[in-house]
Amino acid sequence: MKPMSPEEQELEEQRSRLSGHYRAGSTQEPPAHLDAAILAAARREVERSRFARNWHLPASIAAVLVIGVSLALMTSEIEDPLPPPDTSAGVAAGEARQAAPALAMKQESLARPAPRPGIERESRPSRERSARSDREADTRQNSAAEHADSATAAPSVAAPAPAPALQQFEAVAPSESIAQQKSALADSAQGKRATAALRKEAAPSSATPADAPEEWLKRIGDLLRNGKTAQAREQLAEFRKRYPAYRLPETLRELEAATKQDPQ
Amino acid sequence: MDQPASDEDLMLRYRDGDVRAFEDLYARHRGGVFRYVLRQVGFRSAAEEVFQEVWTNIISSRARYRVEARFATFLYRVAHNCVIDHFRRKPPLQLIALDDDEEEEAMQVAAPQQEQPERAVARRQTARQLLRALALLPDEQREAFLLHEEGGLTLEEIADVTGVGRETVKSRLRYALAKLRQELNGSGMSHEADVA
Repeated sequence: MKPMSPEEQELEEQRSRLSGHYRAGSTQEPPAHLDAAILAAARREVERSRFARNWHLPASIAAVLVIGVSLALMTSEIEDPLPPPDTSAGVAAGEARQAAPALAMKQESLARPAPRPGIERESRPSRERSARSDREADTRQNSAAEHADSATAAPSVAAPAPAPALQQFEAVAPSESIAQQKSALADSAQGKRATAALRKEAAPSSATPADAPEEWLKRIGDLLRNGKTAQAREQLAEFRKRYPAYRLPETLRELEAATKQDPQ
Repeated sequence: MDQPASDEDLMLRYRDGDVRAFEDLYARHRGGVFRYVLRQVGFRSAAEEVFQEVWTNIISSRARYRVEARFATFLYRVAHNCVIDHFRRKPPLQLIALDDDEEEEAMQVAAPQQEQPERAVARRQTARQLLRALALLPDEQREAFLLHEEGGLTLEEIADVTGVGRETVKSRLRYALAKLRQELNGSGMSHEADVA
């Protein structure tokens, strides 16, 4: 602090002379209710900040838990993939003609007795392997048939992915009905139609691709363009079951309207 | 014997959650701040409103408080700003010292009980005259005087609070004191003023 100059000392003397008079008349105080309100506000502020400090930790833990559980659930969903796109739909007709032997093999595996719950865990991998080998054989047949039919077969048709939905179908299908279908196939001269019917039965589960709806609609459009109107209708019906509110393109809307008017 | 805690220590303790420290701090400054505000705004009801606003600001700034100057400087800067805000909201129509009731109340408290009746009356009249003279001072001069008297601020601190230079503050204070003395002398209270 600066030392006081003579001028400031004189000022201070003048002030101190008046100060006594000023203080004699300056005894006003704030009212008691105001004191109480201000002190209460001071206490509230401290309590509020304490609460805020204490609130952070549990809230952080809760947030971490919520995020962790959500991530875990999302991860488990990702690890359980949806069925791949149904590549068999586009070549169903060709398959129906060519795949009778392979399908007979598949019917063999389908006709096995349903596994008992107790041995479910042990038998499932081998059954899946069997189903996979069946499908691979089926795929090879399909591929051969496609090559025979047309040299311009779509590449996606030539490399179908295993269809887990079909596995699921196999796992849950009653063994008796499959056995009946198998015998019908073996006995009947209309094996092709029966095969198509069986495929049709399997179609709902295999026609629920993991693709985005746009992809699915594109494939339905392809079917329609290729003149496979019946399959396109089936696929569209499946699509509609799965995505009831999805807005369809113009051509498919027309197809849907036509299907409603004439279900056949 | 322990020295009383400084204002800054009390405010730091309050910042850290010690409500008792705030109560001590408030007890030290409540009167000075209230009178500073009262003399500036002129009306008790308005003064109470501004006074509460001042302390609300102090309370809400507690978490950010750092010792950068004397607490009194910080406190009276907040009070100065609140008074300015008050006049922005309600421009002053007329500044008066105090109404008669309030003045009478102040005088009754001021007179010591053992004082001679004649002397008590004379002191009361002088104090009343001084407050009237104070109310008639220009705002800046009155504020410089009040910050010096009520807040105990130095010239530098007053300059800091009011945002002007030290020499300006000195000038304002000199004019204020001269006018107050002139008022007292003119009303025949010079003897009383000198005695005090």
